[in-house]
Amino acid sequence: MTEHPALRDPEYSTPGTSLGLISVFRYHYLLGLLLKKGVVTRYYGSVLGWAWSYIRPLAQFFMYYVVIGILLGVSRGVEYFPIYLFSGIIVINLFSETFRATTDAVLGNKALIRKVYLPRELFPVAAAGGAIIHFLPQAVVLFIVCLFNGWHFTWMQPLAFVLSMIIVVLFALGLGLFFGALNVLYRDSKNFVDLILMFATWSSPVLYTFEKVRDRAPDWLYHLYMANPVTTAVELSHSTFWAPIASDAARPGGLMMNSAIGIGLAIVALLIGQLVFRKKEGQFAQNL
Amino acid sequence: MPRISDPSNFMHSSKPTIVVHDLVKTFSLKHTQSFKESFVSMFSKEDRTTDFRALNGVSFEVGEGEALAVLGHNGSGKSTTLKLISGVQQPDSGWVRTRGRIGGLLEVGAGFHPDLTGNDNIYLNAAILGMSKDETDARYDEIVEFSGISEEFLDSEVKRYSSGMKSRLGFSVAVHTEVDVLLVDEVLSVGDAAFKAKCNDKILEMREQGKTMFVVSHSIGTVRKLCQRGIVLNQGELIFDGPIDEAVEYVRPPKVDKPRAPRAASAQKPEPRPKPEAPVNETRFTIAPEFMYLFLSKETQLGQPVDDPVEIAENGGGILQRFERGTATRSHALSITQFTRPGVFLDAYIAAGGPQGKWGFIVGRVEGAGSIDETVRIRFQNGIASRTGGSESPVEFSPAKLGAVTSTSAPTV
Repeated sequence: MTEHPALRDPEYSTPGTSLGLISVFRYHYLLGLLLKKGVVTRYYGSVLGWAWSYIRPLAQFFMYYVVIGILLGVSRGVEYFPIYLFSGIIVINLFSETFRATTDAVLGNKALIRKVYLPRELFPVAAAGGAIIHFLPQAVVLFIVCLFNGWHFTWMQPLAFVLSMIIVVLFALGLGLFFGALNVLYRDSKNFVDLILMFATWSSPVLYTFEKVRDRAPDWLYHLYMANPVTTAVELSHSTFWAPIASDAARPGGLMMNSAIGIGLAIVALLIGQLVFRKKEGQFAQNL
Repeated sequence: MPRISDPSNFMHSSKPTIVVHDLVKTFSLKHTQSFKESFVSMFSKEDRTTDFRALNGVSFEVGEGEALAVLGHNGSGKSTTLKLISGVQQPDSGWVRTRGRIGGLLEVGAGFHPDLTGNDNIYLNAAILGMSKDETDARYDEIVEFSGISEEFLDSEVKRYSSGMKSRLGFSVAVHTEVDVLLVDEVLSVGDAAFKAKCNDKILEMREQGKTMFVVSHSIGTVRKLCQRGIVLNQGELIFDGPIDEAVEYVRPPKVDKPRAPRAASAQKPEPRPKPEAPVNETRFTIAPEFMYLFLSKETQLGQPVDDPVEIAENGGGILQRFERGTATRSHALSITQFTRPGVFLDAYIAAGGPQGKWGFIVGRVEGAGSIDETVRIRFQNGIASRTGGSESPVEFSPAKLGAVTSTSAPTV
């Protein structure tokens, strides 16, 4: 039997195939609308609306500050401890928000996924975009606080800030694609995500300084700890907001090196996430 | 051999718009939903999945500008075919190729967000269906006019809409998308009679514009008006491909007064339906959705169906289907699905006319089985069939109102 001419003809396409994340760029208009939908509906029907985006991190910060800083006395020896704390918390918040939203994105859009074919990566990417939009007010609040405390500008700061965001978002998106795809088949992967997020807060120098780990842990463990992309992003955020204010702040060595590793690991996570997502994607519509 | 008509009779262009080749799609009916259950089932002998073959080697082509109807009973694989062509699902083997932009009337309102306004939803839904901002802007007035929704409603959230308004808006966006191929799935029943007529006109208009159409519908009137060619699916296999008038003969509702009507009807068909030799353990007949649970349930062990389901009009209406190890009935009036195993009771039941007869539908399971002197009973819609003594004694039927019977509540599934 000869091969069917439609298999060779470039005019024909196979329904339900895409280039994954690359295809998302072609759908930038729809992506924009999905982002807008997320922004408009996020606080739909709430009186305070977007103020919640500020209230939640402030309350969280206050809680940590009182318990960790004052009651447990970790702040001893750390200048401007509240700012130190807050610049770490917003990074963890960005990570949690992105990770959670991207994991839920497939399940949350099941009505659409079951009926219309679109590159399914659109939904996690739109969710990640929403998380970034949600994160920016927190950064603005922190930035204003820093300005009042004698923050001064250097070119390294915006660079470190952007780098920190890129690492966190790419890493979380990669994890989100992975767990989001598995979540369609096994709903318990959501609980794994919660578990990972619980560790994320404590396995990065948010509530304590990196020196505590450096002084106590063996060398190999310390390097492993510092290679964690979330740790790198937190330290980059410290460099952006806290270090310019705290004059004799101890900074970990090799932050540039760790940033490179962080970006590398984030890209690896993204590739693995994308691969698993693509492999499972064909079964989404029938399993949702 | 299934009859495949000469495609050149139907094609308007040398190149087909949709090519479907040897599609196979199997669904695994999974009974586990978590890691734990999967983990446990690894060690237990129980098989936690049941395979269900929705499509089994279906091939066809749709020419440019052609309107093709897909016919078949529930569960014959029509919707699965549609989903594979739209790309929502992927085939297990075989392939699909399409040419041009494909749009569908199957996703009417799927992208609506209840908290967004009608206007926002028009743009969002149009974008989901593949339209750019400029294209939507250009067609915005047409969309609004067609939907017949007033300005003030367009500025309020879609959740305040009636369900009719919602589907009108969804349909309106869908028919105004720029497509070369239109997939239609049972949506022509949108809104009130006036809007329905408008939709039908719109679809006919698109048809006259030379758009390729792929229509899945149970409405014989609709498909005859819209399509000149029809394919018929049965149990995931293509059993007919040819002129629409001949195709619809396969799905005409069976005559209700004869339980074996579907078989009898096939005698009138232009060509007898090919009946392949049924291998053991392979489903060859449609299982009525009402009996799917009984069929899949491990307890009932009904075995394979030995006939297609039969619609019953008498006694409040329902369905009857014969399986290898029992006959199941579903009463629409009582909402009771029940079955009886082969034996003297079933023989007496069929002799009394089955669900059409004075016994009515099966309502309960065998009661009182065990000892030889005891009376064995089965409850039916219109009374109780009983037998006292050994297997030689006759089955007796005593009429009783169901209200009195159900006080002891017959177990149902």
